[in-house]
Amino acid sequence: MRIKRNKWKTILSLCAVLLILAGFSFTTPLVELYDDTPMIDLEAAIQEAPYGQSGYESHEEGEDPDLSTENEEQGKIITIRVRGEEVRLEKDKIFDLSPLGNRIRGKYKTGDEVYLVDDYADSARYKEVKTILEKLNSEYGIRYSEH
Amino acid sequence: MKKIISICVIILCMLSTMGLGWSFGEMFMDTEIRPVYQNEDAEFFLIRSGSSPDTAKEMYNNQYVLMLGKVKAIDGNKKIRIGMISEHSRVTLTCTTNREDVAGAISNLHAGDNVKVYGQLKVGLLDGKWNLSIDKIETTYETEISRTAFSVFSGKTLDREKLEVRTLNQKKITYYIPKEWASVETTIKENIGRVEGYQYRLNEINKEAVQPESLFVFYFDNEELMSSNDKSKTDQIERTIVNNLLNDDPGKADKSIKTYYGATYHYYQTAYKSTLGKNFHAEFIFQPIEKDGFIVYMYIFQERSHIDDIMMVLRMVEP
Repeated sequence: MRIKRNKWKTILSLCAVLLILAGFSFTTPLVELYDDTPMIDLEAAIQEAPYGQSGYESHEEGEDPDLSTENEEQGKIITIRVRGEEVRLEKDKIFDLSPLGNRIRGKYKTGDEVYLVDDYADSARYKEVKTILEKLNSEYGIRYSEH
Repeated sequence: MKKIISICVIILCMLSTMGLGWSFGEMFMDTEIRPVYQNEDAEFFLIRSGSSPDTAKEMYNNQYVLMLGKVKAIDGNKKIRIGMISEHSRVTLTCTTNREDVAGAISNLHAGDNVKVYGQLKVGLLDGKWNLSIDKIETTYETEISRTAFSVFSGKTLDREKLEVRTLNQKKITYYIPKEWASVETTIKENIGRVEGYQYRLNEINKEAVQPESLFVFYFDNEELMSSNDKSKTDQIERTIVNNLLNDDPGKADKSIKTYYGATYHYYQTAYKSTLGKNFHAEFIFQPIEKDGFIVYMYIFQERSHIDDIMMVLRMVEP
């Protein structure tokens, strides 16, 4: 019984020493500012719009990047027109562009020409779409031009 | 006994999860790990140290330098003496090393070779003799060096005379940026926030295909504090700023140093989670400017591709 009691005394003493060493009891409060709003809007500052294919997140399989005309009013959308049908790519939405390539292939008939329409605010997105069109051209002979 | 040890381990683990005194690991903007070498000419150094020892001590003691000189003598493979490129003087500077890779490089040198020596200068307390402790040595065809330039271990160099100037706090603080940084610069106050300073979207230089890498340089004025009594509470102010930006109190600083160039840095390392749920390293340096405020450097990245340039920019800040 005495041995047990001594053991627990040792344990408790060790705990106390560790807590004191770690300065557990000394957490100082933050200071107050006149303005509590964020000094920098990091969401606006850290834009995840990498160039090239890296960093994109895929939609669910089968989901098509063709979108409604809701974003037309925002301007600055990129349009691909195939056989009179337009595919518009929303400015900020990130998605896998390979379904786009498959869709263009599906609609394309020999003699058609794909038009890459509208200059896009973000040159990165324009370059990526153009890369897909160049690939379609080299692998499947699909013609395209820029407007 | 086993029970005691187990309980101690559990308590230590609990304390560590509370973030008491444990660091994430390496600080990437650590000046002790990534020194910046000020370019110097052996001729200028030797004349200055000979004619004005006290001035030389103030200028050079503990400084990291990239010294251009000529090998005058090789004393084994861990010690050489270099002198002026011109042949006119026999005054030399002793350069030594404990590193085997440097010893290997020395073994390939010959008297008369022009060399660039990266290292740290120290003057002996008792004998007043200078020694350059070598980090790296390489032969060169150069006979002149720009004394306004700074270099890093990789050999990359920035010449302050060719950089763009930026100021903070009513032009009381000056810093210099490479020209390509100007093309990816955002003024914080006009665009993304309310403090005086700039964001540098480094990953957009040369349109690199990587995740965002940004350095923010801004000034925090202690006039923003509600109570003037809080101006001396440096660590609490720093934690408040981090908490304001990341909504996370980082606890005490991970590291505090006075650099070899005299700047006081307080380091914090934490994380930023983007709107897409991606985690980025977030590293802070707070450089107190007396009791007036702080220069704040906030580095957010996944790949630290531009760390060399960042270290040189930090080195050249004039508070």
